[in-house]
Parts: sequence; C-alpha cells; structure tokens
Amino acid sequence: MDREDWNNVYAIVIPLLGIAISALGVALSVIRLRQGEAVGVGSLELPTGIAVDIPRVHYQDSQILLSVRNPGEWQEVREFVRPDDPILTHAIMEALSG
Amino acid sequence: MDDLAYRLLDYVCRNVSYKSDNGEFWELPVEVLTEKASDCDGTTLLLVSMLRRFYPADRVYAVVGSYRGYGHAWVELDGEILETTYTSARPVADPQQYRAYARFNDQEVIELWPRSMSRLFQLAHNEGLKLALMTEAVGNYRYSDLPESCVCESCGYELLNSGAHCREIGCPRCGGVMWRKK
Repeated sequence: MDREDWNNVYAIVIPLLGIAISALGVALSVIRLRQGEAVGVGSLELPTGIAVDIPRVHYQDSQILLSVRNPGEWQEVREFVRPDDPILTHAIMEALSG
Repeated sequence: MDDLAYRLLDYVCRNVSYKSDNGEFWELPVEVLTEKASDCDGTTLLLVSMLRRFYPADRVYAVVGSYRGYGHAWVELDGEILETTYTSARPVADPQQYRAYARFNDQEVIELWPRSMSRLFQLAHNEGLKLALMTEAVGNYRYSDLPESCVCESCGYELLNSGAHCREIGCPRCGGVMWRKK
C-alpha cells in the first residue's frame, strides 16, 4: 500500500477506535455501578437499576446537616431526636403500664 | 439497663415491626408511632426520644455506625447497646460487632473521628443480610408465634430460626421475598 492508502485506512480506523474506547468506558462504568451494593446508605437507586452516589452530609459551621428524607431537604442531626413530641406521652404511658 | 429503659425498649421492639426502606429515609418518632413500622434508624430515633424524657443528654444517645460492616443504628444508655430491631428487649448477643461512628441526641453530636458521619453513608446497606446475621448471633431465642424456618421464593434459600416473621426479612442470599416453610 502506498502512503495515500495508509491515510485512508487511518481516516477510518482512528474514529472507530475512538468510538470503541468511549463505548467501552461507558460500559465499564455501568458495570461498576451495578456491581455496588444495590442501595448503599449514601446512594440512590434509579429506575434503571443503576445506583448513584448522592451527598447525605453537609458540615456548616458547627452543625451537621443530613439529607436523609426527601431529596434536597437538609436537617440538623439533633432535630431527629424529639423528646418533647406530644405523641410520645401516650406511647410512654402504654409502655410503662404493661 | 434498669427497669424503665427495659420497658421502653421492649415496647418499641414489640410494637414497631421491621420495615426495610428503599435507599435511606430517616423517619421521625411521630411517623414511626403512626405507622408502627420502621427500620433501625426509625426505631432508634423513637427510643432515644422516649428515653430522653427520663435520662440526661450525657447518658443516652442515638448511635450510627456499622454492624459487621453494614450501616446500622442503635441506642446507647450509659454505654450499653440497646438493639431496637429485635422482636423483644434482650441483651445484645455480640456487642463487639457494633462499631460506632457518631453519637447524637437532641443536645449534642459527637463524631468519633473528624467527619465520621460522612463515612457512615458509604457503608454497605443490606437489611436482609444484616438481620440474618443478627438472628444468627442471637442464636437460640425461639418464639412460638414465629416461624421455625423461612424459604426464599426466588432462590429457595432456607433460613432457620429467623427470629422474625418471614415477610419482614429479605433473603440473605439474593434479597428475595421469604415465606414461612410449610
């Protein structure tokens, strides 16, 4: 083959090689995501079955904010303990009367 | 554990059935009491809220960490582990398997090392396997109303002495639905 033939071969092979490497990269990424725990504590499973990591903890000044309820909803960790909640009174009375 | 703490723990264990959530959703005490079903973090937050009515903040904490490598939550009262996912109050069979990452209550948060809370959410999460491991650790506890064995409808795996109703646990092998063995 002369120089022009080689140029034609490269013109076809190089783009194909690029596409193949990209596709392989995407495929390996999907496989890696699927191999993870089905639903990690810090991950969210999409309808496609792929688990993706999402941020759950945010440090702000001296506070620790958690996103462990609805997406985008952040709450200070101490707010999850609610001894003053009135509904507890009935449960406590029930527990101690048994 | 004194009698008061025992009664409150037993109430939570017996009155809140286990419900595995999809992903991670921390239910508030009011939601747990309304639904009568939750997972380890929901029942932990309920019990620690109840205990805080009686004990000062430096004695009782909600603890988040790992149980045999899986993300878990429990209560500590004077350093003693109170396990809310059991079906009744009883001493923890294998306290050495519990590794705390952070303790907190309505007054304070204590991270066991800098930014440990953020590491918590990178732990593996498999509720079915975690419960099966706990059941295995508890060992010989048997309850007349509980099944002697559960069978997975998907892979046929049989779990003896599950310590919980079959529908409340996932298959330790494949995560499938478990049924009481006939």
